[in-house]
Amino acid sequence: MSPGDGAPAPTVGAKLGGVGPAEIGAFYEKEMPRLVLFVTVSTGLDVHASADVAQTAFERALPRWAALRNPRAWLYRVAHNEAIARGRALRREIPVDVLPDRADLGSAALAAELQAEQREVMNHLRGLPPKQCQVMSWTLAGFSDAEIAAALGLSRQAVKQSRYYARRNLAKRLGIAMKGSR
Amino acid sequence: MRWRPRGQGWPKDDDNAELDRLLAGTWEAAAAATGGLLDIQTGKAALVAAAAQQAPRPSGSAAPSVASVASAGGQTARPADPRPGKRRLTARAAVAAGAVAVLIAVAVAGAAGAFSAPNGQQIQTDAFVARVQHALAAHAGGSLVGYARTVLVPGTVVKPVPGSWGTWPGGAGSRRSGLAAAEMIRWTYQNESAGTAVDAAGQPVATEQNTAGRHALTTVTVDYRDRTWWRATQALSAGARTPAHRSCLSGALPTSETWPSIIRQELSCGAYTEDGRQRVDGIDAIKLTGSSGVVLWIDPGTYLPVRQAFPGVGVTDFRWYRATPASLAKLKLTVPAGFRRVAPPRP
Repeated sequence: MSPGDGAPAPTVGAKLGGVGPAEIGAFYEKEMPRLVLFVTVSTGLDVHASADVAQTAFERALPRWAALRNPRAWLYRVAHNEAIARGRALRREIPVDVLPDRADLGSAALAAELQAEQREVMNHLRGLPPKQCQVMSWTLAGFSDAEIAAALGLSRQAVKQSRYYARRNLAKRLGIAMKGSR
Repeated sequence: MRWRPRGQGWPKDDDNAELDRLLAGTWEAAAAATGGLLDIQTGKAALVAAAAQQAPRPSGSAAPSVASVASAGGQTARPADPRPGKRRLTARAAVAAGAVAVLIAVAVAGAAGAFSAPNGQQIQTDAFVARVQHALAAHAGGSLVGYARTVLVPGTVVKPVPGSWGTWPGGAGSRRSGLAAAEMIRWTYQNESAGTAVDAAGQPVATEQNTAGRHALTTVTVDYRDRTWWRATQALSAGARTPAHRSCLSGALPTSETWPSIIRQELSCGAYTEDGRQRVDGIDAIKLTGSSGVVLWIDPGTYLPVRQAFPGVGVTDFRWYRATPASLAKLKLTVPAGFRRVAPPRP
């Protein structure tokens, strides 16, 4: 898949006229971890909540699966919107008490699986400004500029701009020299 | 990775193969690690089961594909009617319901007889339960890990006893002895639950873990204040295992009953009345009110509880998570080294 070429991502739904449960299951097995990771990084939800959001997106996609031109893009978009909605809802809550911070064991376990360099990359990715982080998450998930622009309500130029600055920031924080220029 | 723009748009992406390699490698590794944290097979089974359930099955024909169901609607069509009638509860639904039932029952322990005949409009029981069953069936194929956080009324005293927690108003006039607690944190999954009482400083004062077996309920409790622990095993009578056969939540701790059964029982005996909708935790929740003032808010999408309020006790917020090694770890209790074993209190 070429995120920049605008071609739709290859999906089970795209290549099959009639999609059976087994095929959806195979698609789920492949895509679920990536979707959870995408939600975790792009929205800042913990792994548990992200998994819940991802499962919800799959369940919503089910009744309309064959009618979707690009189920994968639809899935990510629904998951992203659902995660944003949950985040907003939580911010609207009036806390009745303050809970002490507790480590997110899921994220800790995730970090433990990664090499030191990869942990550093993930930390820097999550530490990007929100828009840059979102654009990078969509890009790393394999979506085209047009798809990212549509999902985030941005122009394609804005997507490119955010990604440019995101990559520049990442390179700087990771100590990688940038070869290109505008 | 290839995301270089082909046009002349501004700004152009850079060409940094090292960064590309690092990002791509990290993303793939993180995706693989995330997969290791998820119960993929359970989630997949749930989805496939839901797909099979959504397909209409004409007599004499094989189960149709999901496509044949979905194509009737189209991309912009509304989802299928979520109320196709009563459905058989799947294993996951029953398990989820059991987890809810445990949470509810733990929360109402000590509030036996709190419900009485309704004064308002009673919900159409059969239709409501059918919706509940369908909603839970949507989660078919796996178990949910329940998280419940109860902020207790100031001064509340709690005491772990085999199978549950005793909860009393504290203060100088109280004759009850126990542990001063500000909140309770509970995790449930299938036949296990773990509850921790936390003091006002955020420190755990006691944790109780319950495991329901086929015929017995085993409780292990650690008292961090006294540096003691105890274990107790209670035989489970048939009645205790199927509390829905009792009327109006007698205060027993259910271990394997279904949430729809609990709701059916409570509605049929008039314990709850529907009291409109309220926005709770970002959800336009159904509000159910018991005549004693107990209020339960339910997510209309899943029919799992969102919040529960007990006058004089506290307010409980619920969260539901997929089972992962991290969430399941919340249910484990390890007795710290050096703690002294003592006899369990009388239930």
